Amino acid sequence: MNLKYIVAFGLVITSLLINVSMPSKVIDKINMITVSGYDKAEQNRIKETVVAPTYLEQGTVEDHVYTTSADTVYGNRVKLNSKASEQLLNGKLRVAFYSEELAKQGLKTPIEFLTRDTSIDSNLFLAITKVPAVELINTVKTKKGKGVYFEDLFEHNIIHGNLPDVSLKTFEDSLKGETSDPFLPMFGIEGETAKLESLAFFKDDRLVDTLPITQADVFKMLYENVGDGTYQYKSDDYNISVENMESTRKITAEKKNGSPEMTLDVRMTGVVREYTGEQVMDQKSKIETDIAQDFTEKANRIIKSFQELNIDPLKLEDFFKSKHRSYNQDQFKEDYSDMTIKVKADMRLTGTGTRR
Amino acid sequence: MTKKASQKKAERDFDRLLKKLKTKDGFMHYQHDHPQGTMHLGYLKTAVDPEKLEKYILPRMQEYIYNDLSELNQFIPFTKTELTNDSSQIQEKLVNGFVFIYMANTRPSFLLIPLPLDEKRQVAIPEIEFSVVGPKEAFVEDIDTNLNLIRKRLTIPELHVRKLKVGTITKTEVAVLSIDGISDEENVNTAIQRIEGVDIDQVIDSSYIQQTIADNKNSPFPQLLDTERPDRIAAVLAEGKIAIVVDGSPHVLIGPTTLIEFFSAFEDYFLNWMTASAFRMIRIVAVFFSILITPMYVAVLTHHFEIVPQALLTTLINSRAQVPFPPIMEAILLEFTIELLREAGARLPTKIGQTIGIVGGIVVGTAAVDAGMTSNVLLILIALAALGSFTTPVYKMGNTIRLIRFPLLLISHVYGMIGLAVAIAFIMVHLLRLTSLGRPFFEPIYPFRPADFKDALIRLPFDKQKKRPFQVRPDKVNRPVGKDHTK
Repeated sequence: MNLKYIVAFGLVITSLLINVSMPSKVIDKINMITVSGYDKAEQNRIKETVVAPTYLEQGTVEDHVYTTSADTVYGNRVKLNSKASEQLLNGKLRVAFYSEELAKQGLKTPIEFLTRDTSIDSNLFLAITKVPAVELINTVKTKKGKGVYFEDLFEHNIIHGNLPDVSLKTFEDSLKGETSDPFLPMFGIEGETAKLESLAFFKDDRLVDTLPITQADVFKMLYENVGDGTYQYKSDDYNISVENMESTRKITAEKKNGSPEMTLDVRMTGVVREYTGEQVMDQKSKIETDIAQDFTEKANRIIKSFQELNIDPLKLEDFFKSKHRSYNQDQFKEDYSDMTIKVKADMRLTGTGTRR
Repeated sequence: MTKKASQKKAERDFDRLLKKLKTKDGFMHYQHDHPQGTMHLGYLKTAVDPEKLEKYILPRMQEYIYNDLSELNQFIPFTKTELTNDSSQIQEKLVNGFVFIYMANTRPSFLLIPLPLDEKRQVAIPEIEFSVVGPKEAFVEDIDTNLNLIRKRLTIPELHVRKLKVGTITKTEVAVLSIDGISDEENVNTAIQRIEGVDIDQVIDSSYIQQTIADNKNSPFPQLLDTERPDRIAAVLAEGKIAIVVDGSPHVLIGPTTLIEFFSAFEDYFLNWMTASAFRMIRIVAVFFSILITPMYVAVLTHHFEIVPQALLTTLINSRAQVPFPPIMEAILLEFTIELLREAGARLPTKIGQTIGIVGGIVVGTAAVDAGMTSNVLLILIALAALGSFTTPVYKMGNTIRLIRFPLLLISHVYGMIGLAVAIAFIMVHLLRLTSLGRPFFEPIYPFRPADFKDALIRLPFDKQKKRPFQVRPDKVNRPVGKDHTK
């Protein structure tokens, strides 16, 4: 009876003693990669640029940027580790950049290692760079660390700006699901700073089209429910800025004469923040219809261009598949380019600030 | 021969006894001349109350008129006096605080008067379970006073006190209290059976009983609750639990109990139910925090840098920049320091203890950080963990919490969070298996009894507590409920 406990206790102690020198990753004895960038190098090699911060006193961060090229990403790591003072680890990787050149060739292979490593967060931000990734990373000068800098840039644009919710997870879902096409933000350089320029749309894993970020508000409201967006409208009579935009979108699909007909119903509410015309309250219903009309026009243009390129970033196929049993993948793909896709928009101004 | 010879023999016997007694320390002997012959009075100085002796016995013996001891006995204002001829039991009686008066030539020849010196502490304010509101009486070392404190609160004939003697040398009085018609006989019988089975020579404190009748003696968790508050005992007796009072101990045991009961202070019942529930939850969170925070610190810093938020990384790494040890070393070093301070503070007299606490806390803590022995963050975490373990109302449970941190610390160094999770699971299984007087200790969480949650993690208002806890299997589950005045 007692022997049982002694043996069990003994086993625990032995296992602790045997494993006491188990490889550990003590937090101040490693180099954490926060940002990585990938470019195409000659002979089909991959050029990798990684940022690994050193934490100095008083909360300041010094970033070390290492660049090499090799056949595989981990081939690069061997070379990079020979330069770094401590082991480079992926666990805190927050942002990965891929150059436009790589994106045009297809991103399936270059992002493969990101999805394979369990220590990498699937909420990692992926982005395309118009200039070589190494150049973009080197341009940014910041005291809080490049990792935090880029992460913050993504986050506030997703929550309050025009950038839809994108991450490694959504990108990979679209790639694997085959019922939608992925999209990613695209960065460029303006002067000394990095700048979120446009949304890049993919067909399968190849970059085919871009949409300037200033026009992405319409896309974002077509793509998902927005909690805090903005909308700018300009007409001959007045300019107006609507903030605190909330929108819900509803898709309905009907099958008429064998081919599906989709309707995207977007309902928006917002608060007037800036207005150049006469009294808002008198014009309220006119402004609302104007904005709704403007939205519909822009949306139709975007959808038209998607249909021409035969890409589906709005996940319409995904929706149709989940709701209709008659769904047939080949049939849908065939129908898609000349499918009727209607947009219904409804705008309501819920407030005009402290002025009428 | 006959009368004279037997008298001679008795006198010889008494002389022998006197001679023997005079070798004892503190034996006082006094002679008084009486027409019938010399009278002897003897007692042990340390066992007898001298005030009573001088006030009531000596004047009556010297001034009153009597012919023999039975007449004298009429004048003595004490009950339980004894008249005897047998000189053999005198020694034992003296030890118990009796005074003997011997009168030659009469029968009976000995008068024994009980005048035991009753040195006991006054009923004082509870110090360990102090509460700002509510009664301020605490148990003392005397069992009769303690029983009186309980009886005062439960003036009902159903209060059943069963007395036992435990300890082959000390013969300590132990009383098992229950209320007939409410508490389950089985609980009472279990307790009595176990107390009767206790086979040790001395029972100095109720802790001895607590440990010897525990269901699992190899568990670090105390399985009977001890309290110094008579009001708490009265309350739990009315819930159907039983109480064990031990002579010489100011702590009374409660059983069957649950783990969660150890985290409920009795003050919870004096406060509004919302405040009380909030404080109780804070206490439970504090316990979890206290047990888990240092092992988690070690596990995360050694193995799982991925889960540290980006913003916290700077703080953590900066605070560890000067530290040459791995996290486990600094954690053990600091934990050891805190335990040292705690032990030193507990062993020293109160005033010096306070000084040590301040010196240790401030000087050693900051010096250790300045010297680069430990990190700032860990210092804060360990100080908070120590505070957390102090919030436990029952001291013995606080000690257990102190203890189980250390194995967790070692395991999380080697196996990280997985090891920690397995170790916690191990402790959980142990708690599931524990019983208190045969009743499940981890109730109401396991076995899951939703009704008993009314007074577990939260304390519902009194009118929502119409049933006694199922855990103790009370004979009467329903509590008497008065009229509802709101209707």
